[in-house]
Amino acid sequence: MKPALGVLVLVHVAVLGAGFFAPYDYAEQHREFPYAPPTPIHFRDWRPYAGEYPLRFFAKGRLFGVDEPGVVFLFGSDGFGRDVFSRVLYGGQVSLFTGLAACAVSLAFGLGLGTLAGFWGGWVDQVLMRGGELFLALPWLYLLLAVRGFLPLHIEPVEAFLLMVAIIGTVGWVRPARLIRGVVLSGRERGFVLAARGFGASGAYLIRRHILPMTFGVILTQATVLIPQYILAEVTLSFLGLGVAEPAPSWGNMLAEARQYHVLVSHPWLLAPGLATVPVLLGYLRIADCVLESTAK
Amino acid sequence: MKYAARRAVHALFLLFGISVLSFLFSAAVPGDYFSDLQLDSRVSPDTIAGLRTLYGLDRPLPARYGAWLASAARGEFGYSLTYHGPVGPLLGQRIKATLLLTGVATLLAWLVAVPVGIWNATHRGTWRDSALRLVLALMLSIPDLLLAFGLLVLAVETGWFPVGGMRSVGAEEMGAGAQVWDVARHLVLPVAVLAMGMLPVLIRHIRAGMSEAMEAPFAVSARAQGIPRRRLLYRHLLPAALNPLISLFGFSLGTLLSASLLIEVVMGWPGLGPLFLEAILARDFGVVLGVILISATFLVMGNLAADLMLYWADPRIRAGGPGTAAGGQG
Amino acid sequence: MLRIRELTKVYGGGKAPRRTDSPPQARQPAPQNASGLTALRGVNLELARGRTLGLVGPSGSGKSTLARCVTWFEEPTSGEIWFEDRDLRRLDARARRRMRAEIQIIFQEPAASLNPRFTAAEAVAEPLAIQGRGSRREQMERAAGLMELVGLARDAAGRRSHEFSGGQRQRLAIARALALEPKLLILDESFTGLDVRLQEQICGLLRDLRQRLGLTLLLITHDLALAAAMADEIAVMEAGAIVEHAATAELLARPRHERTRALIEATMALGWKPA
Repeated sequence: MKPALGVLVLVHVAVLGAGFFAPYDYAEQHREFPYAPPTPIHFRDWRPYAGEYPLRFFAKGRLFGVDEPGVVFLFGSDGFGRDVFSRVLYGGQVSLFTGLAACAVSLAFGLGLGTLAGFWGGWVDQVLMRGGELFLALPWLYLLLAVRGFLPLHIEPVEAFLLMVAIIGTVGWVRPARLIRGVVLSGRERGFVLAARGFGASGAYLIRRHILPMTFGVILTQATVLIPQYILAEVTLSFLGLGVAEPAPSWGNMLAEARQYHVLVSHPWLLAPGLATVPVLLGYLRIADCVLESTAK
Repeated sequence: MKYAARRAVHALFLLFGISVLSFLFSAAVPGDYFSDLQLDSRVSPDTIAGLRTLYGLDRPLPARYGAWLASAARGEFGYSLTYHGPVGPLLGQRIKATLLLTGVATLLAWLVAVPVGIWNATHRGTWRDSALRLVLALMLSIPDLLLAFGLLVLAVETGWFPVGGMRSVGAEEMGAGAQVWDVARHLVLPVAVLAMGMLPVLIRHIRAGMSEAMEAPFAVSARAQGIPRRRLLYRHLLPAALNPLISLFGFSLGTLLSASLLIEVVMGWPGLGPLFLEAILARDFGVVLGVILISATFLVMGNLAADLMLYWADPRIRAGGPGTAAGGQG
Repeated sequence: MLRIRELTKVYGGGKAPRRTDSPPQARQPAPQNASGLTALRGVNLELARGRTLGLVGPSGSGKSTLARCVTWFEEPTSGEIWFEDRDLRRLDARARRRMRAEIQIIFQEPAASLNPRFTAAEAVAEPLAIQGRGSRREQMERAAGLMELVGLARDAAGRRSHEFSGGQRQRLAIARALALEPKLLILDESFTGLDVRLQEQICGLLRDLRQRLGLTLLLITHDLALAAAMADEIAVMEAGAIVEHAATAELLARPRHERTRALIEATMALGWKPA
C-alpha cells in the first residue's frame, strides 16, 4: 500500500503546488505555438535543454522554465498555445479537490443522518431511509446532470467549483448513511454501551465516546471508494460543460477540447488530463483494497 | 405472491414519489425554456408571456402536474419544446438505440465475467491471479472517457471501424442485411468501451462472491469429503454465491438505460444520453422529466426483479429471517 | 431496601392479565396472550439491606426482565418498585441519574461489557466520568484503587481491556460497578461462562467486598449451587412469577414448590450436595 500512498501524495503535492511546479500560468497563451507537440528535453554537458534554450530553475518563483522566446511544453500545447502540463497541474486542483471536498460532504451527511437514523430509530429512521430510497432510485449520473442542469448554467469558476462539490456531495449521502446506520444500530446494543447507559450516560455521551469510534472503519472504506468516483464525476460534468468553465482548467473541460476527434488524432497529447487520472484512480483503488483486506481480518 | 405484490406496490410508490419530486424540482428552478429568449432584446416580454401561456407554463403547479400525469397515461409524457412534439415517441426512438448498445454490452460483459470470475476465484494465489488483478485494476482506473477517445483515435488511424454515430451516410438506401451489418459495425467501439467498463466490476464481485462461498464451512467440509471439483463448483458453490450475483444482475438490468450516457455523447450514438444533455442545456423540462422517469423506472424495475429472483432463489429469504426484506426491519 | 409490588411486564402491548392467586402453581410456559408475551406476572419481592438474595430459575422465567426493570432498562407494564422508600417509577430524569449510582448491574458477558478500545483505567473510571465526579486525575486514581480492591495490579491500568483474561475482565466489570459506591449490586448471570475455579475466586471476592462495603446483592442465576453458596435468601422464579422465597437453608431443606424440588434434584444430580 505504501507505493500507492506515495503516488497519491506525490500527485496531490504537485497539484497543490501548481504555482511552483508549473512553468506557466494556466491562462498564459502562446499564440505562435498552437497545438505544439511536447517539447523534447535533451542534455548538453549534463544540463537540460529545451531545443536551444537551457532550462532555468527557480526563476520567477517557479521550479523550472525557459527564457523567452523559448518554450518548454512538457505535454505540448493546446489550441490557444497554452501549456498542457501547467494546465494539468492547475486543473488537478479543481478535479482532485472536488473529489475530496465532495467526499467530505457526503460523509458528513452520511455520518449525521446515519447516526440519527440508527440511534433514534422510529419514524426518524423510516423517513430518512425512505427518503434515501428516492435518491437511490435515480441513476446517479442522470441525477447529477439534472440537478446541475437545473441551476444557472453560466457561473464563475469558483461558484461552479462550490456548486459541484455541493451537488456531488449531497446527492451521494445515501450509501454512507446506510452503512453508518448499520454500524450504529448494532453498536448501540453492545454490552458496554448498555453498561454506560446503566451509569446514566446521555445519548450524546454514548454517541461521542462509544459509537462514533465504531464508524471510523466504515468512513475510511467509504472515502477510498467515493473520492475516485467523485473525481470522475467532476471530470464528466466539466467535460459536458456543466462544471468549471474556461479559462479555469479542470481535467474535464480540458478533455472537452479533444471532443473534435480529428483534432485529437493529430494532437494526441491533448489526452494528458485523462491520462493523469489513471495513477490517481489506481492509487485510491489500491488503498481501498488494502483497507478492505485489513478490515476483513 | 404476496411478497411480489408488496414489492411491486412499493416500487410504484417510489416511482410516483420520484415523479412528484422531479416535477417540483423543475418548477423550483429559476428560468425555463424561454429564459434565454428573454435575454434577446428583440423579443418583447409580451411575446414571451404569450408563449408561456400557450405552453401552459404559467398555470399553477398541481394543475401542471395533473396535466402531465394525464399526458403520461396517454403515453405522451409531456411535451418537448425543442422538438415540438410529445416526449413519449421521442424517447421511444432513443431508448431503442440505447438498449441496443447497453444490451449487447451487458450481455457480453456477463458472458466474459462469469467464467473469468469463477476461474479467478479458484486460482487464487497464483501468478496468473496477480496478473489478472493487475489488469483489472488498470481497467478500473482508466476512465470511460479516456478509453472512448483512445478507441476513436484507433478507429481513425486504422479505418477498421466507423468513427462514431450509429449509421453510415446513405444507410437507408442499403438492403436490410447491409443495414444490419452497418449498425453492427458502428456498434463495435461503443460496446467495447461500455463492456470494458463493466467487466472489472463484475469480475471482482463474482470473484468475491465465489471466494466467500468457497470458504464457508459447508464448502470446506464438502471438499474434505472428497466431492469432485467440478461438481463442487457448479452444484454447491455457484448456488451459494448466487445472492450477490443476482443483486448484481438486477443492478445491471436496472442501469440498462443509464450506463451509457457518457459514451453515447462522446461517440455520437443516438441514444437517450445526447437527448438528455441537449434537453438540459436547452431547459426542455418535458424531455428531462421524461428521461429521468424512464431511467428511474428501469432502475426500480431492475431492483424489483432482483428482489423477486432472490426471493425465489434463496429459501432463507422466504422464511423471513432477521435482516431480510421479507422479515424484520431492513 | 428494595420492594417490588405486583410487577408485571407484557411485551407486545395488550393489558396485563390479572394476577391469579398463589405461588404453588402448575408449571406452565410463559403464556402468550392474544396481544403479547408476559414476562413478569405480578411479581412481589422484598430485599432487606445488607442481605444477599439469589434469584433462581430456568431460562425465560423472567429473572433478567426483573433486573432490567429495576435498572430502568425496561419499562414495566404495571406495578411498583420501591428503593429505600423512593418510587423508582416516578423519578424525573435527574433523580433517576442519581439513583443509577445507587443501583448497579453487572451483565453476563464480561468481554462484551467493556469497550475493547478503552484502557482498563478508562473503563473502570467511566461511571465517574459520566456522572462527572472529580477531575480526570482523581477519576484515574480512584480507578486504580478500585482495581486493587478487586485484586488486579495497579499498573495494569494502562492496558486495553481486551488484553485481560475472562476472569480479570469480570473483576474489571465489578470494579467499575463499584465506582459510584452503589448500595445495591445486581449480578445478572455474571458467573455463567466462567470455569468453576474462576467462579469460586469471584465469589470469594464478592463475599469480601460485601463485608467490607456493606453491599446488598441481588444474584440472578440459573445455578442453584451458586445461589446456595452465596445467598442468605433464595427466591425461585418460574414463568414470570415467584413461586417460592425463603432463607437458603430453609429452602434447601424443606422445599415447598415443585419447581424448587426439581431444581434441587437437578443440581444434586450434577454432584452437588446442599451444605
